[in-house]
Amino acid sequence: MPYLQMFARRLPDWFDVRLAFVACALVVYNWLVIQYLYRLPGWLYYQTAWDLVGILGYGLVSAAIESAFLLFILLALAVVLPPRVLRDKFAVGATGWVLVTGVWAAISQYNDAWLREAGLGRLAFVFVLYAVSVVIIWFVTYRFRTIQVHVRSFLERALTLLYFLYLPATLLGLILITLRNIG
Amino acid sequence: MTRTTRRDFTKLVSLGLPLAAWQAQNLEAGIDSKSPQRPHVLILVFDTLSASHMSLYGYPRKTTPNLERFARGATTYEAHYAGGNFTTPGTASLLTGALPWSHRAFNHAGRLSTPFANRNIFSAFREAGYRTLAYTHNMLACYLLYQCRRNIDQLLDPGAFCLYDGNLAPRFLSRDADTVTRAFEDFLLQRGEIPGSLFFSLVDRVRMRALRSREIKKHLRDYPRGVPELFKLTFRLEDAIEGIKQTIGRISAPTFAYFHLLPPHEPYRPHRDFVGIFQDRLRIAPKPPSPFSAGVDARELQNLRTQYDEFLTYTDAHIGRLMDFLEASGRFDDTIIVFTSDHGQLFERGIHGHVTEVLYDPIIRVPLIIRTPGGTAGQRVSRPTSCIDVLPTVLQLAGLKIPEWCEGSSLHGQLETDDSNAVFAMEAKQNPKDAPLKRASFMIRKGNHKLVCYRGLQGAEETYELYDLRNDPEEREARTADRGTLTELRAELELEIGKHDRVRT
Repeated sequence: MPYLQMFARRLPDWFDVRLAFVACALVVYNWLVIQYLYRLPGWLYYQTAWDLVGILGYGLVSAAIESAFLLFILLALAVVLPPRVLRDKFAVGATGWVLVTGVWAAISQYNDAWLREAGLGRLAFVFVLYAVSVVIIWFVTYRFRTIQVHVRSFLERALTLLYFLYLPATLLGLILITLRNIG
Repeated sequence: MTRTTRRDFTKLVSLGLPLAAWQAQNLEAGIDSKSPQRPHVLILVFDTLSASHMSLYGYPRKTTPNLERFARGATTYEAHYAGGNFTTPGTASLLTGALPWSHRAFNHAGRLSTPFANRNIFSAFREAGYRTLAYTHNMLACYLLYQCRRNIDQLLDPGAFCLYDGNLAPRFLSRDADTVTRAFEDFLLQRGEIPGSLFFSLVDRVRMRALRSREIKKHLRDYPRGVPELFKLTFRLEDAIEGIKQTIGRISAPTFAYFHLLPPHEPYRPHRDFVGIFQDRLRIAPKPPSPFSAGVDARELQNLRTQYDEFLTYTDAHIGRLMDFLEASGRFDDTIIVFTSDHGQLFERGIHGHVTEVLYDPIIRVPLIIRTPGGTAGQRVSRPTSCIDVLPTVLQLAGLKIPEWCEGSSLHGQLETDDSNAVFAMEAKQNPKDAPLKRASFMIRKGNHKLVCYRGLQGAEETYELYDLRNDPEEREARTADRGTLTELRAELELEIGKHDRVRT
């Protein structure tokens, strides 16, 4: 029990957790939707509407799990790292980390062939660049209060997007998947 | 003597009527589950197997000695053509007995038109009382099997005969395996294109890389170029053959079985016993460039050709093992065995592989060997045949009625000299499934002449290539001067396109 209490104390504020989830979801869902729309014209050549809806359904549910997975990593970091590094300004710190990680993930997606051939040295170099960019974004977001205010303000507005678009769509996706797998 | 009461009579009638109705239904459908004389039917498809690379068909390297042995008791078709130049149209034509302009599965990972999902080789045999089973390594073929699933009694999991199967989602959501696989493997986690999942796809890549490294290390001694793999499946042909042997060994009731294995599809990774077996410095004279050349260097093509030949020889060795088993287990006496491929492979004119618009013989001419129970003295049929003829042929050989919807015709009993039938193949990836084909390559082969038409394609808006395969089997010289033959074949091609290629609603 004392461990549990200590663990709970190290967790960030609940509202900040929600804002951090919004940041994760924005990156993951927007990427999904962009890629889906990019593929859609090609799929229309041969996929049925029911399959296209099915693919989107699986994508949305997967995006929800992916967002939760990112949030879980952030929460784990918040618990492990000293509070002033992440926990105290969780929403802003999480947004910075998710954005930088998202950009690096996108870069690696577009350079898959290069990375596939990469040896350990090249991978280590990429990782160092990534780590440096995380430190820079952390410094910038923690140093400038204006940025913090704007990030929080943006995330609070984006909550609406999460509550009224992404989560309902994911729920529909989940229902659809259930129907497809019991029908 | 006991007296029959009205109640007893009612009981008798209520029991007897359904029984009589059931018997009548069975007789009408021609189903007799105990019929001992019905042969099993076994279709073996080895992916990307070009007849032009088989010593059985005259290739200078000894690539297929075991198939030559098998062919001695079977009928070999020397000019047999696939319906298309990659898995989806080639396999779909084989399964439906219809050409791509009819079944419409010509896009990458394309789908059959709805009617064909319910009328195909599986439905034909199943309706005749056969048990149907299918297995494939190839995910593009697997999508087609998913569509035909209603008529497949046992559809084995693609990972069944593999070292490991990296496709996780279909295992958990098997009822919707088709869409789940398309969603995860062709979108969310797809390699080669930008995937729909930003982070999970990276995790998946790391996972697959670790799994691959583990398998490569484990089998490095036997497979110096790595273990064969594709579509997240890593396999050894020996395991797949063992799986087929066990599956076939268990069948008792008349069964139609379809096995579609990946070798010799690239990557070419044979067992060490076959690496470097061709040190003959075989030189293939260069051929005229194609408008669709990918610019692959001639030396590189030569290396790839040798690797393909090695992989093919390795494949043939395991086919030999399977044939030995079939013979020893008595299956040679009660099974119709069909050996074929879905398409070929190209190593010329700056092109490697089969992702291309061209329809030269090495990419569409595939083996067809049919062995009937008891065998025949090895026959060779040289007139052109099509993969759409396989379905009616095996139905006829099994003593079953050929359905009206079948577009091909049975090869059994046809005259060797009959050259009146034209054979077609096509490539139409760039077209919407249900619209007329505007950007496509078409091939018509009739007698010794072959005409290829490139239509609406970049670099070849409306181009024709006519070849006389008797005098120019390597398709080196397009005979543009032979206007008469060109006009005749073109007219026949246009007639068929007009007949089949209509807008679907």
